[in-house]
Amino acid sequence: MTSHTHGLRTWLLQRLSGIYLAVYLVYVIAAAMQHGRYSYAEWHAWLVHPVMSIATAGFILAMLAHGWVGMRDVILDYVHVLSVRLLLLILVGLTLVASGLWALRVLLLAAG
Amino acid sequence: MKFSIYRYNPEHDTDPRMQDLVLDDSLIRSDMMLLDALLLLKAQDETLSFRRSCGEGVCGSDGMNINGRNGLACITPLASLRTPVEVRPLPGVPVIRDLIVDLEPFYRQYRAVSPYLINNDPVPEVERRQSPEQREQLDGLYECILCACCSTSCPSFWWNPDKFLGPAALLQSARFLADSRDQATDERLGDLEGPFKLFRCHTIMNCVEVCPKGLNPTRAIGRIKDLMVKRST
Repeated sequence: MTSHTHGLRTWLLQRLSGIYLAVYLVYVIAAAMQHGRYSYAEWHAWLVHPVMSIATAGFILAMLAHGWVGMRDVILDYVHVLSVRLLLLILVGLTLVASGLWALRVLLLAAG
Repeated sequence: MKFSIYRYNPEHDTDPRMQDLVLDDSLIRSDMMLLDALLLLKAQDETLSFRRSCGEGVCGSDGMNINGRNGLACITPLASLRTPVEVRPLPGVPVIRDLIVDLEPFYRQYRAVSPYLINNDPVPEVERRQSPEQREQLDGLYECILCACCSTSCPSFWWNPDKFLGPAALLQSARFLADSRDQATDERLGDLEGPFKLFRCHTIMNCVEVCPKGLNPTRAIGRIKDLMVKRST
């Protein structure tokens, strides 16, 4: 739990993941609007392209990291009982890890 | 002119209450400040308690919550306030009596940032000189009067007054980090590490909004973060 004791590192992680999320979302929305892919096959081919797959995996990781720092901030701000705080942090962590694994499974299945 | 003032005397009252008070319009001049009105009200009811000293916005004694916003009563024009004027003590700190609060939590965090020059060189014959450019680095930082308006308007300070330093103390920290004569930059930055002391600041800028001296603690905190990033790379 070293990240728990570091303020600067988590703050930087939040900023950097935020930048990645913003860039990825702007790119995906712009690309989706420009190409106008209407069929499932077209969408599928676009998303399983290796570059896009890696970018999306990065997006999922960035989102998990961003969510972790954000939820951790809320919990550190408002939950002052140490045992409850730890329990909540563990619950949030497990939820995020499970969501991440599920999202990566979807990616891998899509890539076939 | 109508006022609604927070009253609490722990010797007699079990709970605080709001007291409606009226000041005769014949007593009010157009250029009066809220402090002048409070002094007139105190003449009517001498149990009304508040701190005040210079009356010029320099000493920082009369910080209070005026119509929901922290400020100094002595430089808040009466004409700028909607009535009834609601006056409460600074929020988030213990009330001693009426508008007088216990600022010990605030001063404790101020002391925690070592708000003085740390320089281990032998004391020179003359003063420790700075170039005009070096002196300029302190502008916007040294003017703080420690009135506590900023820290007591900061939700992060309300929730964690014992762990989060608060905008006033962090502004002081930035002031000594920016000082060319200070030699403790590394120790100061090291002391600010951890998730609580500095990083409970979520940049909501309540401090900037209320500072009666027009200072910008949020920018000062940003500068500290910059220095921390540089130090870690």
